[in-house]
Amino acid sequence: MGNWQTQPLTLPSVLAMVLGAVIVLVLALGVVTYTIYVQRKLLGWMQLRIGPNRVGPLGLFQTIADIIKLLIKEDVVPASADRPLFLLAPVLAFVPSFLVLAVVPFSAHHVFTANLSIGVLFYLAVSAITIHGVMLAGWASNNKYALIGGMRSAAQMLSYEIPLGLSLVGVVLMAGSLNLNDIVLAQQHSGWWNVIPQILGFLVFLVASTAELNRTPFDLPEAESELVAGYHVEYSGFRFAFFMLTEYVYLFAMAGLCATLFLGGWSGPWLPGWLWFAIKVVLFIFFQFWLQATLPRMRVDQLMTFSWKVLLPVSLVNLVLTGFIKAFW
Amino acid sequence: MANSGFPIPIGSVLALAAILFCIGLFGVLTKRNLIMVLVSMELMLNAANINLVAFSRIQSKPNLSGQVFSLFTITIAAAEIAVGLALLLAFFRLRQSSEVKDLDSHRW
Amino acid sequence: MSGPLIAFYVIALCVLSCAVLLLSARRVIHMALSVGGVFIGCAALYLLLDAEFVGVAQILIYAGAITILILFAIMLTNHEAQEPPFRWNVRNVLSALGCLLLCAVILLSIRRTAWPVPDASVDINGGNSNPVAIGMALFKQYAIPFELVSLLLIVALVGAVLLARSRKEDE
Repeated sequence: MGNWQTQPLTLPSVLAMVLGAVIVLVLALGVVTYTIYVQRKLLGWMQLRIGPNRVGPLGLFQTIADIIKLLIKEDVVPASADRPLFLLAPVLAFVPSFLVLAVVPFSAHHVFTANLSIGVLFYLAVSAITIHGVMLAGWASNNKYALIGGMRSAAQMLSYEIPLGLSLVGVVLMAGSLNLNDIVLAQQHSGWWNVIPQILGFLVFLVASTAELNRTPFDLPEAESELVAGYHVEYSGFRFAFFMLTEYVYLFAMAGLCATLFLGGWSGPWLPGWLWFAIKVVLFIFFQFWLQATLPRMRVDQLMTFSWKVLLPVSLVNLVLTGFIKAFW
Repeated sequence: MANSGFPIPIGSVLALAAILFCIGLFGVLTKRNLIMVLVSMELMLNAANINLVAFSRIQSKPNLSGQVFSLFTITIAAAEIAVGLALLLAFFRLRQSSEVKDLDSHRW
Repeated sequence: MSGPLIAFYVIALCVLSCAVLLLSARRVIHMALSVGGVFIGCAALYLLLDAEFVGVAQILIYAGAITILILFAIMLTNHEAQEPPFRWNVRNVLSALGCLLLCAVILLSIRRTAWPVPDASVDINGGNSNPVAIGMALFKQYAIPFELVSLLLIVALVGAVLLARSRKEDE
């Protein structure tokens, strides 16, 4: 079952792929539901509040109630919106966020995901498509806040994708492969996780991935105090839910990528692989929420400068250093 | 797989590329908006790329040259569109228009 | 019919319908979006032809960077721009006839040629994975073209920045 993208495309293998995709989708939805719950709880505790505690024991069903509320709300399409684009944009944003999960190895054997030889590149390439969805959502809403939010978001995600990609190249150089599973194996083989030899790359990755996820301190695209809510101002009901879903599935995927590339993925002593993977993912997600409760938002004029004048040179230095170490060690 | 031949007939791939190329050509010849002329040009480049990738399968000794060439084409297309759009922005700043028909004067 | 063949026809249908949509759409932004569809379809085609690296590079550069660049250019210029409704004037008729003729000639010559049937058992990657094989070819056989292309990219980058920058004397 391990290598099913190399099998010929026959009916049983296609059915198996569909089944695998459905299982990953259900898993991702479950993770997202409880990520949102944990986020609200954690933020509550960090701000000396209680957080959601009404629906179900400890408020465990709060997110499910929220989802049901969003699903049964009226579906509003603004009269002056560009209708086909307005309907298409949430789909365009969500589909890539789920597609990137296809290359993240959850455990030592690719049970439900693909063992692609170009995994890292696939992640970067497909996640870039989401920018279209965000930008078109902003444009199609025919609302100035949405348009500004969409443009900001596109500019931000595009310029932070470059340091993100370059920080990954260091890891790829260490492992000599673009395959995510090979990268984990290389870390297991060398005995230390990439976070130690690639500490510079890891720091760049951490900052760039926070910006890529549009999370605090880089949540300018949806800066509530100046843009109302950014690109999804005009969206309501289940279309809005799609944008929220995109954001949190990306959080999960980025956590998976971080765990795989820098923290040794599923490798680790004693515990089974999937549990190690889950622990590392939870750590990354917790770190993001911690940032959210701690840091204020950046200013727009600092945002681009920071990416191009700080992160990009640092990641290039990291790349050259890694090359030297690889060549002379 | 039962037969040892490649599952997709090369002729169909080339035909697809030919049709795509002609659609792109038609777009270049008839579109009014400069951006759309550039986009149609990209369509033609893509058609050429499809051919290159397909040809890398059918040489007497199949090798990667076609794929490498198509990588070069993609890079050059990126450079071309960057310069093209920069020119378009400069033009728009001068004439407040992005139509091909406004490009014909030698001086203003 | 085998699976890859069905997949090929589905992809071809998607690519061609996106391309036709590009011709028939009137709002500039719809055209930009449909060309994105063509790019992604082409990437799927490359994956089907076992060119994984080229396929992903296509998504990264065409669907990711170039389409976004085009969208930005549309937003920065006249983003409500619409094409006038299509009319069969002399120029359009002549272009249509020329394109149809060219298409017919190419298709006929493709049909007339006996294409060698590619052997699926030959591994064009020479035992390596596709990105490794491409890297070997790029840095050994095609090292000088590769360097030239990188030079071209730098020139294009600087040129684009210089052209798009608003000059002081214009204001």
